[in-house]
Amino acid sequence: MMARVRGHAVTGQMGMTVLDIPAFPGERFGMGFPEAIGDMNRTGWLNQSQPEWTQLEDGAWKQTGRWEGELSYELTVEPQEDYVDVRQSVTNQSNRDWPNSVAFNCFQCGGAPSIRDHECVRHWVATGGELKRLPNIPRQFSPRPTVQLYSVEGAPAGMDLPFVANFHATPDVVLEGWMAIESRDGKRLVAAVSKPAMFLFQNMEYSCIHSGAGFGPLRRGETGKALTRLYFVEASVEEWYGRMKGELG
Amino acid sequence: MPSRREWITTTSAGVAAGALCLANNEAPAESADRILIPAGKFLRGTTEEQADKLAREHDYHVTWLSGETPQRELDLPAFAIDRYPVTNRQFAEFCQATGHPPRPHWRGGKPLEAVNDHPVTNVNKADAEAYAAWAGKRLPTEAEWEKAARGTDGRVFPWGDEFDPEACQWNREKTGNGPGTAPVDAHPKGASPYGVLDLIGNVAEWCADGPSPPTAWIKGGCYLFHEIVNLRPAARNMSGFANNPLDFYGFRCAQEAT
Repeated sequence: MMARVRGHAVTGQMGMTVLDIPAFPGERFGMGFPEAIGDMNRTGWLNQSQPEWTQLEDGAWKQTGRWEGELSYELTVEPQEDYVDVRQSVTNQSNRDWPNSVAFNCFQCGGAPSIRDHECVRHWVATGGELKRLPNIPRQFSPRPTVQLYSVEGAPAGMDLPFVANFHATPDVVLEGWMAIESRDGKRLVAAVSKPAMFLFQNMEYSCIHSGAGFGPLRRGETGKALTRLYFVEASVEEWYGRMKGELG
Repeated sequence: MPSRREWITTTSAGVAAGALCLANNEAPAESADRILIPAGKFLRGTTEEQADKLAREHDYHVTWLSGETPQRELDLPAFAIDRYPVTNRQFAEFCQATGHPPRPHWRGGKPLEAVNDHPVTNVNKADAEAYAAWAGKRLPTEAEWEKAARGTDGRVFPWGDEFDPEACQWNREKTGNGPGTAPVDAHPKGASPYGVLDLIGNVAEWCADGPSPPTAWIKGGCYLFHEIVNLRPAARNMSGFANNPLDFYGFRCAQEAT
């Protein structure tokens, strides 16, 4: 019987470490959830809120955070056999209506030798229903050459989102709302999928991938919800893609 | 160790000429490990034709190389650069002399004997600059680093236009953490036209400048890399946050020529 994925909250930070993963024995992954959250025009970074962690049953954790006069948020991290679900909600506590809102969630793979990919050659995405290696997708060179943000299907174009446009690193391409990294042996992969997703991000320096969870427009006092699922599976990219489509649509 | 102060000079055509030019006022005692790069023009970056060819041969979208095109001629004043990256032994001496924190992965505050002559890793830009200042040097700019690696003729690799798998420490077998670091003098075939060594692979090297603050260029690829596209001096897909020490980041030093 497979063991369960375990998460360990890092006290006082928004991060968790994911350990004891059946498909990745001895390897560890980081979760910076969220690194930023809130209004797409004025997204609050992690040092602007005060996260608190609470351990729940079945290995789950809850995090709450607040940015006074701006927002409050809550997320639960629920480890399963070969994936981790992160359910997030954010409440607009500002005196503005937000035209759009997002959680900038970092899935850090630099600490997992079989997965870390600082060249992006084992990064996978999909466009138009076709699986593609990331180096086959156009790239926009920018003053931050290790990063890239991508527009995703069903969300506003990246360049129309101030948080995304600010990086000047968004090529003219639209992807599905997930990104995966295949293991070096080609038999396993990890992936980040958000429902709904607002954009994708990756950073070669840390070998991290992000599927930015989108909460949509939020009026004052309104709360939005989104799901991010992190997969840690023994499967080829094609096998996993079929499974993920069946599970999350 | 040379008994007198001397620079090693080279011709732009190729290997270290071996002609020693005395420069008694400015060159340090360990100058055999430091190489003078003469003033003058060099070809920086990659032509559109080279980029198209690389992208086609290695299955990249050509835009992944757009940061290094077009190729331009750039004129630099003379400078000196270390033949090798800074080693664990050298960095440990610096730590002992100054109280600078030893690298976090060292045991008992010292590197393992077996890796004394490997490049130091887990250094951020401030660590590299602190060492360089202690040694009376500085970090090279990206342009200096590229000129030291390619010479003046626009070659793709330090040793020529074709990749040589024996010329650098790279992730040939595509294993998890790669082969790890190697001694800085392990790949003599990797010499640049000026005789600078270990520029490609092994550790990626901090430069003094960067594409945008607070980042700096990280050049040359490393032992984790197995894509030849990323194991070229002109490659510009890697930069680092200045405060970020990683297990494949190292550095070498440069110095004014006069």
